[in-house]
Amino acid sequence: MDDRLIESLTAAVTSAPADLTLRLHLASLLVEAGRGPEAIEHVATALAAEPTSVEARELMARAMGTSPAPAPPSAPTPAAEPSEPSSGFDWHAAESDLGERVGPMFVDGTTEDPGPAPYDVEQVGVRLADVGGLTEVKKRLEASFLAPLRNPELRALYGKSLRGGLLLYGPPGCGKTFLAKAVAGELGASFLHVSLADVLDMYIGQSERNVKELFEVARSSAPCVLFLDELDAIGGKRSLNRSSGARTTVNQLLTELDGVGSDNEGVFVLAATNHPWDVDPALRRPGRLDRTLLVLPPDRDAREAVLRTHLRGRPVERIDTRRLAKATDGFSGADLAHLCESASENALMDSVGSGQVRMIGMTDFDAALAELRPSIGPWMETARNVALYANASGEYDDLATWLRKRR
Amino acid sequence: MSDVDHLLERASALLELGRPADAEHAALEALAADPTSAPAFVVLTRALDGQRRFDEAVGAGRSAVAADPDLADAYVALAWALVGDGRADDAVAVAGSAVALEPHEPACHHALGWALLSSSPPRHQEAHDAAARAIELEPGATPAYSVLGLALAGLGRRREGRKVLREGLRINPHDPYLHNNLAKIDLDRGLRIGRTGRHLSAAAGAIPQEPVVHRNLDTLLVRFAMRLVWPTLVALSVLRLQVALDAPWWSRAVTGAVYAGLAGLMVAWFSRQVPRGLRFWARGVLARVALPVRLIALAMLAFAACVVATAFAPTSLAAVTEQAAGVLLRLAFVLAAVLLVAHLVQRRRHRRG
Ligand SMILES: Nc1ncnc2c1ncn2[C@@H]1O[C@H](COP(=O)(O)OP(=O)(O)OP(=O)(O)O)[C@@H](O)[C@H]1O
Ligand SMILES: [Mg+2]
Repeated sequence: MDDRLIESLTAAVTSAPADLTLRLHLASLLVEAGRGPEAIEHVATALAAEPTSVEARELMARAMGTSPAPAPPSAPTPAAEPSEPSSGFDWHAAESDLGERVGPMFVDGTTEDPGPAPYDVEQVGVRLADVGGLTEVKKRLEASFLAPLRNPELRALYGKSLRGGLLLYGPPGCGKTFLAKAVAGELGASFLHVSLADVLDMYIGQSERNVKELFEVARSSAPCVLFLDELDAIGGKRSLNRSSGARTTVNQLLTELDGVGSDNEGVFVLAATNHPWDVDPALRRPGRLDRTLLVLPPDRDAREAVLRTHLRGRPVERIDTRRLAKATDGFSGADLAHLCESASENALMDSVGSGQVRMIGMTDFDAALAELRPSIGPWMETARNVALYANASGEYDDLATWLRKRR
Repeated sequence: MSDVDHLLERASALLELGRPADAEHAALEALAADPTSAPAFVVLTRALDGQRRFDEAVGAGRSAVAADPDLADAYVALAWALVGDGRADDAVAVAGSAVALEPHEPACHHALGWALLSSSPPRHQEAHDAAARAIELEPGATPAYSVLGLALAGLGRRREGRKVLREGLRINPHDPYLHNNLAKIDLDRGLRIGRTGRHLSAAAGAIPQEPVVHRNLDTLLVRFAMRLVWPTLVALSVLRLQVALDAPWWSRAVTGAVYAGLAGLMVAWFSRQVPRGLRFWARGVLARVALPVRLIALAMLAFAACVVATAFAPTSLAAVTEQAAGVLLRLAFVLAAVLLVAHLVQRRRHRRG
């Protein structure tokens, strides 16, 4: 009966392709009938016409939950295959689903490679579940990055709007690099991690060629996440009129991002910087790294999660993570990692001194806390001035709001 | 390329990005690799200078000079550090050595010009000559236009000064210092609030970390607030008349509403001339300005509050607030007059001294 309904609805949609309500209705029936891939096709069409539709997005989540996303032929490893229908994305389920299969492809960039490559394809063992807090950021990454990567159909539809990449920014040590690695871990896609400081440092005068090659490798291993770390190193707005190597490198990067003379299909660019205001504005124009994502220091709950992550596997005893989280306001993820290190060290020193092995306890943490200060103060100062005085186009509104709340 | 060159290149790039703390780090690494490297000391000097740690910068600059007494760059860096440290007279001598070493290097003349301009009393004419020489050697060096423009303004040739700065902006429309200094020339005279605001916006957008620009914006804000005195005065005289004539309460309310609307329009206009988010960056301005200015501003605020109260209060109260407004206004004027006289006396002493 359902099938007949679906048939007639399909006919109706074919004759009235612009009727989104009809199309979504059909899609929901398809989802219920367990025909996920067909549903995705319709929802994606609807989403393309109306990207903000909540109903369509929910349907998409459901449809993706039911459908094994067909792996693209060139994919080095099978993409995620969530087996249970679920609304939203279940990180833990994904983690167990992906299991051992995540193993990034090793790319060999031997083609006339001068010396050691400034980039390498990484073995990624981190998952988004390992990233503490940052719920909002994870959500946005899922919507704008992971979902399309997992679904080639979606990708085809959104191909145009996926042009360009996402720029993560925020204070140091708050998990930008960590997040990017986790994204790669989630996808099992090949992941090219390159610090632009290295591109410049290693081959001054040749960085241009390196950038070109980097993208070639990325394209040849599509689908691939290309992570450009420390983007500000490549030349800020002030080096615009400098006749340095940075300028030509920026130009090459622009060319590559625009996909001029080549197709960037399947190459997803993720970039990170602590100083987005130092990034060449040309790099941030539409179609390039135009979407930004602010990665902030962890809030209290997130700090607790981060602490728990870092304490996992350590010999700890009666640690009140909640109290610690409360006492570490303003700490970055890296600061928290450092705190755990120091506490362990305290316990170790003590054990060595007394000759008696003991667990890491709260006293170790208190001692470590007394010596630690949050490290993001200078960044905050800089960011505050930018948000106050140089936010003409409103691009740092979210930063400004956050800074105001912290006062 | 050696490790040290490499680190220095990176440090210089970081300096240009306006990240002196990171640059300092790279420079120190370079020094760790080669503790006798004069160029490394030069970069370190500039990095410390950029963090306003002038005392340390002077030390690093002296080390640079000691490491290579023939390196003009070292003298230039030291001169800038000395100026920052408030020892412009020493800086003049040091920059002079740089010029002697490299008479064809515009950066040396530029540093000399700035040192001369910063010495007290400022040696405007010599600064003018040094900056002119720098520009002659390198017509595209816009920072020297700033020195030349300010020197001209200091010589009383403000029009020419402005012209030079605008010329610099034609060469590099984004040079934030030119924008700031154009604004500064206007600010000193208290003219053209809108134009000054636009220049300061451009400067703040490019160098949001520069405290000089923040200060200039604060000054501009105070200047603008003083402009609001005129409509307040007019409102007060109308209200006085209305109180004297025992006009109905609503006529005073109308006066008050018109006044408030006008003031609102002025503020709206002003907020479009200055960096976006006026209410955020302007917060706490009274705590940042000098004490005398703060006093005058507070008196003026109280004055405006009394005028508003006169507009909307019942008749009996209005008579009182109207009187109070008059008193406060006079108080502010007296304060301003005293301060002006003090300022003039001090300046004259300065000239003689
Ligand atoms: N949200 C988080 N959850 C768990 N660990 C975190 C988190 N944020 C940071 N960390 C820890 O801090 C370390 C540093 O983080 P990461 O290198 O990702 O920061 P970053 O933002 O890239 O910093 P930088 O700007 O200095 O490159 C990570 O290796 C991780 O151990
Ligand atoms: Mg990082």
